Amino acid sequence: MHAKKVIVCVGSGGVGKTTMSAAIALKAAEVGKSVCVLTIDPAKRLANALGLTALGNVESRIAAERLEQAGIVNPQGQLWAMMLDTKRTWDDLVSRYAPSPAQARRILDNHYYQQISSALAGSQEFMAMEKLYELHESGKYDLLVLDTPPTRHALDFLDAPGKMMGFMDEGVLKLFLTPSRLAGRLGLGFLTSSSAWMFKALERLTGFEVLRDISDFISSFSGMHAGFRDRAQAVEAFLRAGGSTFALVTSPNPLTVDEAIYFHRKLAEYRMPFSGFIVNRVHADALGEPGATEAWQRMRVDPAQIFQALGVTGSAPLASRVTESFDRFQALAEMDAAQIERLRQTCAGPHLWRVVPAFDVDVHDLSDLARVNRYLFSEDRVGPEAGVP
Amino acid sequence: MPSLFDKRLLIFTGKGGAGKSTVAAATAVAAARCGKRVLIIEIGEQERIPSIFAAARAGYGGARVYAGAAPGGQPIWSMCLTARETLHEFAVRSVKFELLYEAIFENRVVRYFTAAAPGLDELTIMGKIESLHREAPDPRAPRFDLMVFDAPATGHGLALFKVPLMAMTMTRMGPLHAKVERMWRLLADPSRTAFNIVTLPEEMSVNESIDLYKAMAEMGLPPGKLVVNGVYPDFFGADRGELLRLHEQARPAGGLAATIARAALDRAVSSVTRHDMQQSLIGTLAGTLPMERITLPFVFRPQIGPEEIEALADHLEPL
Repeated sequence: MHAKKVIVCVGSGGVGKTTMSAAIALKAAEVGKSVCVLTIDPAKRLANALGLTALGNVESRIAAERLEQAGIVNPQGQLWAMMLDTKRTWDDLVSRYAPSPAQARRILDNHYYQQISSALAGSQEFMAMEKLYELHESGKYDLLVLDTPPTRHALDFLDAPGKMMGFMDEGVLKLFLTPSRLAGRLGLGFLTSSSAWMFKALERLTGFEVLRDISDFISSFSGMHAGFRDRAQAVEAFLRAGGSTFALVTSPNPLTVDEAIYFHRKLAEYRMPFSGFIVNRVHADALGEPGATEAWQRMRVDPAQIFQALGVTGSAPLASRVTESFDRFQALAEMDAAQIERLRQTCAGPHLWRVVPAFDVDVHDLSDLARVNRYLFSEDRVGPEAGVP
Repeated sequence: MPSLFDKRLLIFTGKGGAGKSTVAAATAVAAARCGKRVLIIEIGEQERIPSIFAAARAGYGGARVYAGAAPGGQPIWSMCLTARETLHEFAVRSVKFELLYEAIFENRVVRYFTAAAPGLDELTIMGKIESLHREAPDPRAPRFDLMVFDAPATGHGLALFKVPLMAMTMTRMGPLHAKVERMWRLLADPSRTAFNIVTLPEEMSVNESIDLYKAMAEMGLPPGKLVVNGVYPDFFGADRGELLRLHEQARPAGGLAATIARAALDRAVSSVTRHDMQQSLIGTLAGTLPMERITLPFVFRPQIGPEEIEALADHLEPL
């Protein structure tokens, strides 16, 4: 964390990416960094995790007193959080690169633009990258932590800058420029036969109106392509550069482990810098000590021993219920350990591994995040790694 | 009240990790027991449904993934749609000839355009689902009675359902307009479609479900059931008072036996704490969302397979 400028937390839905992102940011603030955590999740999860009610498209600072209330004595750095507003990021970008306010207005008023700039997949991911880069360039932060949408959209996420670059490629766009003339040609058959076929097919597929909207939109971008393309290239280069790293968050659920393996492979294919795995919601093995399993086997056939060992007297039905519940928890712990082992075997390499247990209550405020950090950043690594080979 | 199984399209969405695929699979099993011909639809690169039924990949063409355990029930089909394959099929149908498809859709210009046009993926997927509701994928077979759609999580799910609505305003006329209008009419029709929300009894999942419900209501999407998944049993019932008292009284652990006994007692108290927390969140849901609720028990098993799905389906059969 110390050497990095950007940490991107990726993983399946529901594994606790937002929580981990927020916890990492909290730790960075604790040790003196100026850090901002950024979420692009449409469901306002980070707001929940940070106990904030409103996060606009601007960073808001979490007051130092709140960090202290969460048990962080004398925090050295600053914790900021932001929830991405995709549409507003688009609007800002358009306004920045438009040669004139009138041209900016033309784009902002365009039908097609209004559709793609709202919460559609792909556009969101690209804007997250854009905002990340913008925050990085502002120089206000030592570290940025990015929370991402679930892995089923991983490809969208990693492809986003490339896709946009393709879209903004001037050579391709030329064909779409001057839509009104193109529209006339379609009717008049001025195009060569193969192009005419192509556009006729497009027209049949999309309806004519939409084609005009898109052409209008693209033509109103004229003069801005270079700016956009350079920007998209800069964002991509920045992500691949040494200052950023990806952390893969997963739970020990077999299906999410499958997805983590898939995602790990994708990150490698895309040559993204990768630092390690955070396995969250793990049921810790309570019988990790040598001889503990055998001792429990002896105890569970005579459940009254549980109470005796603790110097209390309880009923026999309760003792057997306790035994049954412990067996269930241990079964969960064994399943989790097996899944973590499978993940380790499949994704071998010099990765960092962190295991965060399943807590009894939801993680939803700063003190809970601080509790998570005892496992994410423990010095001795006894607690978090217990029960994991 | 008519059964949910008499509809044509049951959509399952909710927070990521809430168990949408599991619930979709169990719903399909419950409906198949009632004699319905069911098709499960999922989207994306990673197929989940067939592995839940211990079956081979179904792919874009679809395949039978489960024969069913109950006599007289129907087998279950599954299909995994990717935007690429859907667009291909759609385009080939529209331009009639594969060669033309290649000329048009493998064209550099068009490929760039379609790859970067946000919303197009969603539109073709929704279009495929709409056409599956009207006709069988195989012309020799009868069409499916019920489609169970394992939809993407909240945000991306909403984006997917919004696309036909947006496309309607964008096309205004022409052949695509008629098609997107049909998509939207299917989605918004309470007699054919129901949007079900899957949630865990956890705070963030519950909050997200409440937001999701509001967003769906605003869009005019017909609500179905609220499925609360992974509910802990009330394991200690009337013994909980005694358990908590003993947990207080127990002396600090020393030695292996006491350490283990302490861990066993801690885990027992954990399960009581979790149960209480879950019940209070279920109370919040009941007080906030005007949706009929179904609770599914936490599955203490390493892997969800056909046996677990059959057990969960028991809870869903009265749908």
